[in-house]
Amino acid sequence: MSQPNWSEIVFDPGWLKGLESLARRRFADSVTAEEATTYVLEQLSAGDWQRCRQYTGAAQPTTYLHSLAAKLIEEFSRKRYGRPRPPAWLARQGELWVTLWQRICLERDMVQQVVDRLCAGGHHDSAKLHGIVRSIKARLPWCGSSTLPIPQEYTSADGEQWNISDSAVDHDSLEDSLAQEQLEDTLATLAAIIHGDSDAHVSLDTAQLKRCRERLHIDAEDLLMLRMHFRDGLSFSAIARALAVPSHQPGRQIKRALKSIQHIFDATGVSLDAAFTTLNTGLKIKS
Amino acid sequence: MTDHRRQHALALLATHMAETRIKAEGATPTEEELALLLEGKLAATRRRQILSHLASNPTLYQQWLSLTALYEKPKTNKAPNSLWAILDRGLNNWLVDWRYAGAGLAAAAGLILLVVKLQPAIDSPTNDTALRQAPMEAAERAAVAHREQALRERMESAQRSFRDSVTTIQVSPGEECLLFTKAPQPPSSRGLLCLERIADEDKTRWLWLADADSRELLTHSDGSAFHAALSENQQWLAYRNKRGGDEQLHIIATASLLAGEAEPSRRFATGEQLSYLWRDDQLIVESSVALNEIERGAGTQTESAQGELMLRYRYNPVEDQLELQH
Repeated sequence: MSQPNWSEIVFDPGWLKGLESLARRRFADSVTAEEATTYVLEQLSAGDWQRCRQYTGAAQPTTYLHSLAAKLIEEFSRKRYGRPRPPAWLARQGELWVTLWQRICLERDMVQQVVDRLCAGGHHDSAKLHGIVRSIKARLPWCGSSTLPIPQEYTSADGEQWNISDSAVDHDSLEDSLAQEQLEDTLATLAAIIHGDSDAHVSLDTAQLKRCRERLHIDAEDLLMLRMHFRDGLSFSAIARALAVPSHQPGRQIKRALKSIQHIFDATGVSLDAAFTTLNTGLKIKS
Repeated sequence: MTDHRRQHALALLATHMAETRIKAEGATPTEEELALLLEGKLAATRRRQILSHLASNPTLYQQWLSLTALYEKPKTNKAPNSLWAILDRGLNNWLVDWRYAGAGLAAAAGLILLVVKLQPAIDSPTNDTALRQAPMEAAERAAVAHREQALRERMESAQRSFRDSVTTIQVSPGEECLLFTKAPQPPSSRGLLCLERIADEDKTRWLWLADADSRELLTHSDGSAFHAALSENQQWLAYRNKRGGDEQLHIIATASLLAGEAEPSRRFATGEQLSYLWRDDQLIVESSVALNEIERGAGTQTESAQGELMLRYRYNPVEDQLELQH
């Protein structure tokens, strides 16, 4: 098939504006964002637009180019900061912790700017995020300090990609996979969610949580919608557009997923209300 | 616990428990497939596989989320043609062309240079200008075109919201203009304050460019990398440069700067790179080591009282107070 005129598309003011938005969303520092933009333009145009030539014509050229640009921005980040490999204890806390770790510890963005960006959608509490950052810095003294180098074990220069499932222990036995430490992390997450204290834990029946986890199966689309809405603060309509589904679908699907989750929690005896009460009356702080 | 809070807790806890068990299916999605996902053109099976990749790969997820956010942005209107638009175009060419200005052009001729360099509107990066006629690699052309476009759009954005915004326009590292809309110096309350590196010399200078005025304010005898930012009320300016091996942060009242007074009201130094931004007309500074306060005029350094690893400071220029934030 004949290739589009990539030069004409890329240098269109509207497309360039989109590229800038991508870079600014990714990097809090404007200079780094600008460097990333320049990198993308150089890579796209190199070798007579060689990187664009994998285009098959199925998607819109502009959308394809933006998708390619988003990848190149990540490539720029990997070349600049290495591929992030968060410590296991941090990875188990979930993606928000990993995002904060990456931005502040690896990319050394200003804490306040990173927090402001994450709170912009109204689904994160600034004090909670600052608490998480303090917890991370307490355990990683090099985090955010330009005088101390980033330990090599936290970045990978090779092609190895970290996945969320890497943070789980891979055993045949489900019992083995639910190590006590992992359960404590789940409890800490529960405490952080309900009480906003990331250093707290509660004494809940861990057997209940084991059963709950065993029965909890959320498919990828439900998981993405839950994450996009409750963690990343996207509206239902934004989720619908991102996943190209009817506008009413995310709301209904999320409601159904929550109902199913609640049913599993009830069936396994895990009660958020009970946990909340326990947290309020008998909170223990990890030493 | 309210219903909303319960739902929030339930969702986050469930995703926390479930996402470590999800496995990616099928081949890693290509960039075009991510575009097709956004456009709703994927077959059901392949779509399901790609969603499993997004759910289990945080980097891919963030990359895809950035892409989707792009398509949420509203379109902006073009600014009308006006004196500011003309100034912008001339300034655009002047700032980008400073390399070609020649050593003979004096700083006081900034406005003259600006007038001489006025060009018709640049509609696309491929239009001919004196800059683009010089032989350049395609990538360099692309980078220059991007900077010009970025500068023009930022100026237009600043012009539209001139009453409330403070805009820093960074053309490239080392070349910045700040848009004033409430400058304390009549006759013009609006102008561009530009910090420019003098070509081929180890100097930087401040230039004031207004509707019918252009004058050089100060010249610094160090030309190393710098950055500047105005407070929201535009009464204070913070700028950063390097002297020797130290990063220095200067805070000066804009009224003083526009009157040509050289001495900043406060100076801090650190041996490490520092970051800062204005918030509620107070300066937030982040430094990995203690800030050393440079005594006014003396050029000496005094050790900070704390002497420990610092994270964040807040400086109030009105009260001249520096506080360590926890």
